[in-house]
Parts: sequence; C-alpha cells; structure tokens
Amino acid sequence: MQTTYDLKNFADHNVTQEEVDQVLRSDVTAEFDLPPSQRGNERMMLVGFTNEGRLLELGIEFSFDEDRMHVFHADDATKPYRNEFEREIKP
Amino acid sequence: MKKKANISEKARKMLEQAKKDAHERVVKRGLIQFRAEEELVDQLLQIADHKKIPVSVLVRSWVAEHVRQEFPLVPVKEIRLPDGRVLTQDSYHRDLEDARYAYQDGKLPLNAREIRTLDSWLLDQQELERRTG
Repeated sequence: MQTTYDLKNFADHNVTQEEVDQVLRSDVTAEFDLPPSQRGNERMMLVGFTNEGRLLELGIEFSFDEDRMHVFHADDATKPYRNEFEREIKP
Repeated sequence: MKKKANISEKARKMLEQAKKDAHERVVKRGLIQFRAEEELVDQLLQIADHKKIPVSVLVRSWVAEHVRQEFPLVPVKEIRLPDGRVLTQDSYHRDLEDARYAYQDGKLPLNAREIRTLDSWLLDQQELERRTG
C-alpha cells in the first residue's frame, strides 16, 4: 500500500508534504464523510493539527485497485470543520 | 477522538497503514520545530550562552529528561501476545477471552507500560459497563 500526494494542490495552499504527514500520523484527528470520487472511490476528510499547531483539512481518496491512498487536498481547516473539530477534542 | 468517517473496513485498514507509515516518516526526519515568544527565545539563548552550549543542545537535553519521566506513563496502542494476536483497546473490550488471556496470572512477558495499559483498558471497560448497566 502506498500513500500519494497532490503536491500542486498542497503548494496552492502553502502546505508541505511534511505537514500532511504530521496530521496523518496524529491520533488527535476528526473524520468527515465525503461523497465518492467520479471514479467511484471512497473518500473522506481528515482534520488535525500539524506539529506547530496549524489545523489542516486533508481530502483523502482510497483506490483499492491501485492499492493506494491519495491525499488530493490539503488546506487550513475551514470554519465548519474547525468548529466540529474543536467540539470533538473537548474532554 | 470519536468522530469517524463512514468508510469501509478495507479503506479503514488502508488509512491505519498510511498513518503508521506517516508516523515513521515523521520520526525518521528527526526534526521538531516550534515557535516561541521573543522573551522565551531571549532567555533560552542567554542560558545556552552561559552554559557555553548551543541552544539546540540545551533544549534537546531538557526535552529528553522530560521524555524519560513521561514516556513510561503513556499507554501503548497495541500489545502483541506470544501466540501472534495483537490486542488493542477495541479488541480487548470486544473479546473477553483475549482479555483474560492477557491477564493470566502475570505469566505473560508484559512490560510495565503494557501492564499499565491493560489496567487502564480494564478501568475503561468497567466504567462503560457501569454506565450501560
């Protein structure tokens, strides 16, 4: 299984691959449903902090036939995701 | 974190593997950066100058000292049993046989962190049972 990244999308939003990895590995994340891709692949949004405390949203697509998880989107978390995330992490 | 997306078991496994891989990459890079207020940076630099060591060496030694104290208290995420099974908090709560097996008279070669983790899983389970009656 490999993880691939849309580096152009990351660059458009001033996000680095390193920051995406930091969010991916974190246990303090919230997940949100997304509709399937045009190719019918499952997708989801993952929201979490980078090591420096930047809250990012990651769009993720699962491609089973290619045995690949693709991070197609990374940006600062938008307000709805940010609010939901903050509700979730409250003790 | 409770909020989970409604994805298939296959996608969930893929995500878990990707998280492990990302963790390894972050660890291998060996770099943690942080921002600090000007006053704190100034004080750190002055202490490092006074001790005649680079500020990164100073901060790293302090962090390492705290990690030595804190790390034994952090629960493990999974416990590998001698027969090859992997016990997680979810499986522990789901499969009482595994739970009893893990606790059989202290005969299993578990380290202090694993024993502490099992204790916390047991407490969580008892609390859950108390709430649900």
